Amino acid sequence: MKIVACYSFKGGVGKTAAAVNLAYRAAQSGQRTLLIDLDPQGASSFYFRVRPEAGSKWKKQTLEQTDALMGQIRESDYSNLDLIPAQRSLRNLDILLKQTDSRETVLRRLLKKISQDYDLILLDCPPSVSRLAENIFVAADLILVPVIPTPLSERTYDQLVRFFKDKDYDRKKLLPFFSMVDARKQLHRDTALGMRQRYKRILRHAIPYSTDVERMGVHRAPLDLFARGRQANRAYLALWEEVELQLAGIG
Amino acid sequence: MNHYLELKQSLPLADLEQLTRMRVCAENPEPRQLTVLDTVDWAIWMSGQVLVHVAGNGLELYDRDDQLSVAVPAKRWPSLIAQLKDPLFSALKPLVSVRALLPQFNSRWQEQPLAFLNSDDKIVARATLYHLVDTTPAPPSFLKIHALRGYNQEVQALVNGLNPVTRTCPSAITRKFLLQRCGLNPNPPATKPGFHVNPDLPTAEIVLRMVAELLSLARQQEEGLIADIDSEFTHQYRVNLRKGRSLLSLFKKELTPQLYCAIQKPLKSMAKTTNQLRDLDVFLLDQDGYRAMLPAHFHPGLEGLFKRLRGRRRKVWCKVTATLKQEEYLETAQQLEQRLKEPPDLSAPRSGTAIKKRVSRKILSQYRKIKRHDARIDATTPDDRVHEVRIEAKKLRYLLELFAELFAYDQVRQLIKALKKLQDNLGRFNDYSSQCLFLESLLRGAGIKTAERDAISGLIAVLYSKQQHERGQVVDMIAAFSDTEIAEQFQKLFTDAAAQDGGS
Repeated sequence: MKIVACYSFKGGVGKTAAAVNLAYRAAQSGQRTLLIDLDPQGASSFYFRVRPEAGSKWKKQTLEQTDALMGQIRESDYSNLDLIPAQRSLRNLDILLKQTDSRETVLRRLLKKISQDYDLILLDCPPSVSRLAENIFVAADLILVPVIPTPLSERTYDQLVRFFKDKDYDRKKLLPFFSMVDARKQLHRDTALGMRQRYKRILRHAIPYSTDVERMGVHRAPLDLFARGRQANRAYLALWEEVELQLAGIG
Repeated sequence: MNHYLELKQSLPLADLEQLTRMRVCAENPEPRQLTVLDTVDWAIWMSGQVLVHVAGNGLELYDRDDQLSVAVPAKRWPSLIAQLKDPLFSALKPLVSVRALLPQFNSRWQEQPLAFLNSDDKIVARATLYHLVDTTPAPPSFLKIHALRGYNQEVQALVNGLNPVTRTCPSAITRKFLLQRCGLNPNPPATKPGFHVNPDLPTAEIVLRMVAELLSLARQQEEGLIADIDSEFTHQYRVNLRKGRSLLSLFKKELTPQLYCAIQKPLKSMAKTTNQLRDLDVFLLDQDGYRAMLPAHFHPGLEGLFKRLRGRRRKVWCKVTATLKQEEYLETAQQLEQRLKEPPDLSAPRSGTAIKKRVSRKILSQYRKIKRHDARIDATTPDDRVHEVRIEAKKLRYLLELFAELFAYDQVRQLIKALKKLQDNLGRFNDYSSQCLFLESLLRGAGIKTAERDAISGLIAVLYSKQQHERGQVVDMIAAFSDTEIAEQFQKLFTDAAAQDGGS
C-alpha cells in the first residue's frame, strides 16, 4: 500500500482537483483506492457527493482510532474508490496529534492499520503548516505539490523545500507539478522554465488552466465523467501515469 | 451488506421511488434466455456451481458464491467438454470428465440493474431487480440490494420503506435460487447402489437383492447408451453388470447351482453385448494420449486410424442399440429381474448364514489368495498369472466396497486405499496389454494403409515398453499389499465377524 498526499501551503492551486481526478484515475486503473479528505472545507467530499461528517470521530487510543476511521469509509459511485469525508471539527485531530508523544508518526501508524483493504491512499490536505501537515510529511510515500507557475507560487514551493530541509524531512518525497497553467502567458512559461532548471523532480506533465476543472463543482464528478476528451482530463491521465511510475519505483 | 427481497406484486419504478424516497436509476435490458447445462448426474450443480448458456451471449460458469468465474462467447455449446478451451475446460474437467453436457433446463428472466440515490444524488445502494418470465401462476420478482460501504443506515431505511410490498427471501438471491423458483428441481439418478444391508440376514437373500439393484443400475444406463450421449453410459452399464457377476461368482456356493446358472448366464450375455463398443470407446477416449506417444510425422497415420475406428464404433454402436431394443434382450432382462425378485432358495449349504459372517470369511480368504501370489510371482512369472492376481484383487475390491457398510467404514477405506495402489499398477499393466492386443488385431485387418500401419506399430512399441515398466513394479506392489501391517488390519477387522456363531 502506498500513501500519496496532495499538499500545498497555498490555497486555490488545484490541490483538490488533482486529488479527486488522480484518485479516480488510480481506481480506474484497478488500484483499490481510498481518498481521505483532510481539508475541513470538504471539497473532495463535495465532488463525490459525500456529506462531511459532523463532530469529532477521532479517538485517543490507536485501536479506537482505527475503528473510527474504518467506520467513516464511504464507498464512492465508482468501482475501487472509497472516501473518508472531511470532518467539520478537524481541529480535534490536530489537538489529538499534538497530545501524543510519538509526534509525527501517529498518522502513518493509523493508515498502515487500514492498508490491507487498499493499494493506494490519497490524502487531500488542508493548506496549512500544522502538526497534521507534519504527520502527513512523515506518513506519505510521495507528496504531490501543485504549483501555479507564478513567482508567488514559486516562492511558496521554495519555502516548503526549506521547511523540509530545516526539519530534516525526506525531500525526495516532494513531487511538484505545474497546475492551472496558462500557456499563453509569458510569465507562466518563464517561471516554469526557471523552476524546471532549479528543481529536477518537477513532473513532466502539467495541468492546464481550464473551465472544465471549475465545472467539476457543477457536475460534482471527476473530469472523466463529463469532459472525457478535453485537454484537462487528458492531462490528469498523463499526470497519473507519471505518478504511477514514480510509485512503482518506491520499494 | 445485502438485502434479499421478494416483491409481492409487480412494482413500477415510480412506486419504488415513492416508497423509498430515493431517486432510482434503472437500465432496461432484454430478458436473458438461459439454458442450464449439466451432466446426466448433475455433477456441476451438485458441486455448487452452475453452467448456463445465455442466448446471444455465451457460456457462463458461476461459482459456489454465485460469482461469474468464467465467461466464454459461444453460439452453441459442445456436447463434450474436450471441445472447450481453457479456462472453461480446466474448470469443468474435474467435475464432468468424459460425461456429455446436456441442456437440462430452460428459463428466461430479466436482470434489471438499479441504483438508489439519496438527496445529494449519491448512490447509496446498487440493486438488481429480477423479473422471472414464463413462471406460473404470476411471474415473481426479486430484488437484491447491496448497500454501498458506509450507507447501511440509509439502505436499512430504504428497505423498511419497501416493507409493505415485499417479503424477505428465505435465502440469498443466486442463480440457483432463481432457477429453482423457475421450476428447476434437479434429481440426479443414483450412480452408486445403496444396499442398507442387515448383517444378520441370510447370505443368499442379500446377494440376490444386491445383484437385483446392480442390474437395475445397469439398466438405467440403457437409455443413455442407446441415445449415445456419452461413453460413460456404456461404462456404467458394464461396471454394474460386472459387479453383479462378480458377486454371484464370489457367493456361488451359497446359491443352488440352478439359481446360480439362471442368473449368471443372462448377466454374462448382457455384458458381452457391449465388449467391442467399450474397447473402441477406451481407445478413442485417449486420442490425445496416443498422439503424445508418437512423433509428429506419425500423426497423419494416427488420425487415419482414429477416423476408421470412429466409423467402426458407429457401426458397433448401431449393433448394440439394435440388440438392446430387441425383444429377446428385453425378455431376458425382464425374466432376470423377475427371478431376482422371487424369494431366495435357501437349500444351498451356506445360503442361510448371516451375510456379515460370510462376507468376513470371503474377504479374509480373498486377501489370502492375493498374499499367496506374493510368494509365487517373480520377474519371470508368465503374464497370465499376473492377470489372475488382478482379477483376485478386483474381487476383493468389490467385496470391500459393496459390503463396507457392515464394518468400520474408515478402516475399510484405509484397506481399499492400500488395495487401490496395487490395482492401479495391475490395471495399467492389463490396459497396456489389452491395447497392444487390440492394435495387433487391427494390424491383421485388410486394406490398412502404410501410414496407419506405421502408427499402429509405433503405438504397440510404446505401449509394450509401458507395460514392461508396470510389470517391473508388480512384484513390489504385491509385496507391499501383503506386508504385516496390512495383513494385521485385515485380521483385526474381519476375523471376529468371521468367527461368529451360526452356520459355517
